[in-house]
Amino acid sequence: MDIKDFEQKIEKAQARLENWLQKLMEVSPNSERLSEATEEIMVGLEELQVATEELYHQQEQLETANREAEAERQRYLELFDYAPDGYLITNRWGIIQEANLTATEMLNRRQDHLVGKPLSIFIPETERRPFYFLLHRLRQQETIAGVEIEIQPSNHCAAFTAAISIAFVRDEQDRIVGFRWLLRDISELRKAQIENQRQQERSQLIAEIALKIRQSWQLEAILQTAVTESQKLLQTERVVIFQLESDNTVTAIAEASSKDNSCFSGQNFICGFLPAEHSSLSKPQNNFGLSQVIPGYYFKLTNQTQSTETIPQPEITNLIAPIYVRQKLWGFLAFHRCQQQLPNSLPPSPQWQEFEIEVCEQLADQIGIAVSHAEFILNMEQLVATRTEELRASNLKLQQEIEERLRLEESLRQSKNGVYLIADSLPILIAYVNNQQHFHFSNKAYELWFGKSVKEIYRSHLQEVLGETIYGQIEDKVDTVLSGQDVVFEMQLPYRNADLRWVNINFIHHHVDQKVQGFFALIEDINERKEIEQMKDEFVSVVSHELRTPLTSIHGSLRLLNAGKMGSLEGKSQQLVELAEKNTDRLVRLVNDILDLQRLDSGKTTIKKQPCNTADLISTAAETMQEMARQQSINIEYDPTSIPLVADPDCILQTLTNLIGNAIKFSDPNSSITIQATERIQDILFQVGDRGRGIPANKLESIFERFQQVDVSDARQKQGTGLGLSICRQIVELHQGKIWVESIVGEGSTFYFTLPK
Amino acid sequence: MVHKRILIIEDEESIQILVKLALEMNSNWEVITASDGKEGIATAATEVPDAILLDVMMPEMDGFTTFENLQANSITESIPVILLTTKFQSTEPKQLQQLGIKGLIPKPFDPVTLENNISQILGW
Repeated sequence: MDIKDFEQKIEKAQARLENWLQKLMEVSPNSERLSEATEEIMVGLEELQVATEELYHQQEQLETANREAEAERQRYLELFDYAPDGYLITNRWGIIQEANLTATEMLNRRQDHLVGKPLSIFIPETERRPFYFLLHRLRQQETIAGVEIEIQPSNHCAAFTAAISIAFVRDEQDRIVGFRWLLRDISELRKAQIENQRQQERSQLIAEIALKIRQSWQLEAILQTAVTESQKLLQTERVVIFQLESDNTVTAIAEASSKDNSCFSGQNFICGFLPAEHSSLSKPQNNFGLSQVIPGYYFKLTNQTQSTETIPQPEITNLIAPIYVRQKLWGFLAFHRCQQQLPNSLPPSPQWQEFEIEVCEQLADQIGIAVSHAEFILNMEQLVATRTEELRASNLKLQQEIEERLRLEESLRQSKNGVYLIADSLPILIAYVNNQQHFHFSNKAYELWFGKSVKEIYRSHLQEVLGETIYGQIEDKVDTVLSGQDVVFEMQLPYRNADLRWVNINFIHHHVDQKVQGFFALIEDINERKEIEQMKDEFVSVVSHELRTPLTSIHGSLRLLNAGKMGSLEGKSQQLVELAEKNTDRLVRLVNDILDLQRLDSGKTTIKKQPCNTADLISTAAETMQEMARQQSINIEYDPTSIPLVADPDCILQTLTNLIGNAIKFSDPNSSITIQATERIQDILFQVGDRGRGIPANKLESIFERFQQVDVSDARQKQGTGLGLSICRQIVELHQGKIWVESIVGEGSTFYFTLPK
Repeated sequence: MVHKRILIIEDEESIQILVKLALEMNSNWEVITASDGKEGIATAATEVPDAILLDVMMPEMDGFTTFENLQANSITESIPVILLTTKFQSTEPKQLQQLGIKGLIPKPFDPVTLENNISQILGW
């Protein structure tokens, strides 16, 4: 009912009431009850008025709401129609009841043609069974989301995939009366997805190719893998890798062909595609975008003499990417495709797909890396080969050295054994004692002497082996040798703890880097020698005494006879007596000299040093020999310089008189001999010079030996014993001096000796 | 020339004879001989010579022992003694002097100059 009708009815009722009231007032104007009733009616009427106004107000509000709702609905409808998704409402059986504009476009029908049609007619026949099943599930109130269905608007139109969302349409009793279908064409998305997947697959393939390429270290295998795999991936007719030569020509070094006809491999070409910007031959920062598509021409064989033109091949299109190895242009990866061989899925265009270009560049890049690796490895292999060869050579050398060393060791071992054998067979006690005074080596002789086995001695302390008494006697010598000074001494050592025997002990220190490590202790049994020496000494002493006594008598008697003390002798007798006396003299001198030397040798003559001076010694000697010199008419000249020295004056006098006597003997009459002493930095030099016959060079040394004279007849003619110079040398050496002679034959000799200050 | 009596104690007879000949020949010296130490000591004590020539190397009693015995006897202690010795049995002259030995004549000696040698040593 319209509100205005309602209003009019109220007004009518009001008017009728008022009318009735009028009539009533007329009928009974003074009726109280009537008046009350009238009053009530009036109030009621007023209330009614108010209610009516409210009603008006409400109606206005309602109208506004209605308008808004209508506008909303309009907007909704617009939205509904122009939404990017198709929107359909069907009943429970899939009959379309409503469709928005998008849906009509999707299904390629007018809106009014759609209503009343079953949705299933837009489903391709093959997909209908699942669709019916879907409806069935929906009717079972199963919530279904994320379903994709295939839509085929008509036989002429392409099918597309739609993602659908389905909601239920319910009546007041909440019963499902239909479904709302939201359709979204996802074929583009699907395409993109497929493209993406293909892209991924290609990336995967490139990665796999790269892996395969890098799996090999052989350059040839790498390149062959690269072209074979690339050819498979891009489905081109031919893939060739060209290597850039130094003359800017290129050589095909790897090739893969769909038809298995390798017509480029190994051939050299003039490069028809070497771009100008590659002339620098160094790799730009970014490798990508460097490839180029070269339609219509290729390159020509360098040995193709008849034509210098590039070969136009319009049906062929080439995709060429530079290959850089270590920043330098190394060669090219060339894809070669005939137009008619293009796969159906690709547009019939000479242009290469962007992804193909990208793949080409990536492959070129990968090949570059692989080549770089391969070259590096090849280089490494060469290095390794060289190194291996070197190692082999040095190994061989080492082997030889080892063998040599083994031989040496063997011979060393043998010689060591030999040394041990020798050491053991020697009668000398040989041992090595370390600086802790422990034996490290001892020979058999030690074992015999000390009655201890070599094993017992090994690593034992000196004191343990020698016993305390003996150790006490040699302790200071051990200290001396361990301080780095060799020691030689003689002592009496008990043999097997019994008889004392004389031994000569030699301690020789052994050091490494200035540090004394130990010493060799050599002990020689000299007991027999000592005994013999003693016997000799006694013998010489007895003999000389026994000789001397009769000599004294003979010499004295002859002297008396010769001196005419017993009366004068006749001429021949006198001569004989003279001869006898002379030779007795010589015999006496000889005995004296032998005794001298024996005593010097045996060490029985000890040097008794005392302060003296050269002037006294020389003048005494000269005066002693003056008579002899006078007899030979020889002049003795001597230097009166007095140089103090400490020496045994008797010994030095003996030396000087010996030398002067020699000088006189070997000087010509009326010549001079000179005696001189000179002070030098460390010693005093004595010289006795003559102008005699001189000594040949080969005798300069030997004349100091016993009975060695320049001439064998000298002993007889010059009254010498042949022992004088030996005695001189013994005396000088006992003084730690030296004696020698310098001489020129025919001019004279000078004997020198030195004495320390 | 002054008369002197010299005792020679020497086991070797030839030396005794030589000394006797050498010293008695030209001078009026008298030479008495003894053949060993023991005899020498006895002779020295009875004869009391002006000097004694004493051989060092003698059997039984050597020269030094004999000298010690001579020194031990008051009669003989003042008699000057000269040792007759082979060269290398000599000890230091100073040591000899300390012992009281006046001098040393080495064998073999020169008989011609023996008298002079003795006179020189003893300051006669």
